[in-house]
Amino acid sequence: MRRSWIGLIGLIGLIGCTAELDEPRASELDTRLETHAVVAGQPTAAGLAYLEYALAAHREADAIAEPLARAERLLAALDRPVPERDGIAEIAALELSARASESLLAAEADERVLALLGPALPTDRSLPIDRASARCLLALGDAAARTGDHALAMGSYARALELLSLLMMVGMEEVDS
Amino acid sequence: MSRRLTVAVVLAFALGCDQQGGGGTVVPDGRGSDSELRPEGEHQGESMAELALRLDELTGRRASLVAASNEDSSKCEAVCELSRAICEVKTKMCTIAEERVTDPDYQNLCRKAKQQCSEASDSCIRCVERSSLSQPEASCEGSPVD
Repeated sequence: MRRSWIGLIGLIGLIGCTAELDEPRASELDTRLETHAVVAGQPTAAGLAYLEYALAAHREADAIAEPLARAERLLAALDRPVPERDGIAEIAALELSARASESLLAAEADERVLALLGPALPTDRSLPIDRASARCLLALGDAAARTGDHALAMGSYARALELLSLLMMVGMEEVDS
Repeated sequence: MSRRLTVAVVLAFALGCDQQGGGGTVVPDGRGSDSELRPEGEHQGESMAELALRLDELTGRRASLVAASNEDSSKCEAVCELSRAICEVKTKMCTIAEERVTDPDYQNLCRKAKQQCSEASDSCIRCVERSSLSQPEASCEGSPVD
């Protein structure tokens, strides 16, 4: 009888520990940013089809005033696979993600933004030097800040800041030329 | 006596007004000094055909200046928009850093963000100043003469 009590207490303790491990933990501060430039070139047929598809999704989203419903339309568009090795299509997909995330943030669906962008923007993924990448990082930072994950928020903001500064450098070079 | 005094006062006012008004006509007496101002630039031609060609050339140059200036201002708009975005991110980062005053990593990131915001603002100002320098004078645009 005594042994079974000890076993029961041990089991409760074990469950308690597992429950603790399952709780979301604060991320570690990581500000690494990998980038690549997208060179404008001849679009592939698949890339062009993806662009038209993304544009149609944006147009439909324009007609939806309610943020959550708008986000759902944009998220549905993200189901289509992005053509590989097509920089312009990659940016179009990031634009869809950014706008969907901004709509989710407007609907206060912060956890859904974290679920969407967290796995999509790891620090070891190279991001195209484009405003769309910065918008995604900012949305991730905003969602993290609202949910109290300071490390993820600060890391995402710092990466967004670096990207924006890179874009600024490119912009000033164009002005100087 | 009193009538003479009145006439003298009216005369004095009249003379005073004439000097203050300065509406008199100055007749050149040919003894003035030469201002040494001479026409600048090349001889533009005198015939209608020559002047018409010159006008076409100037109109074309003005159009290209306006196009370049518009391009510059749209580039500056993009630069300044980026500058605003950078400074917004800086504000967000420093707000988080305020909640972690003892963490040097957060403080350093806030400091760096402030510096990047300041540099971005300078770039925006520099771009706008340069763009406004190349802007053609709108007030110089003459009205068409019938």
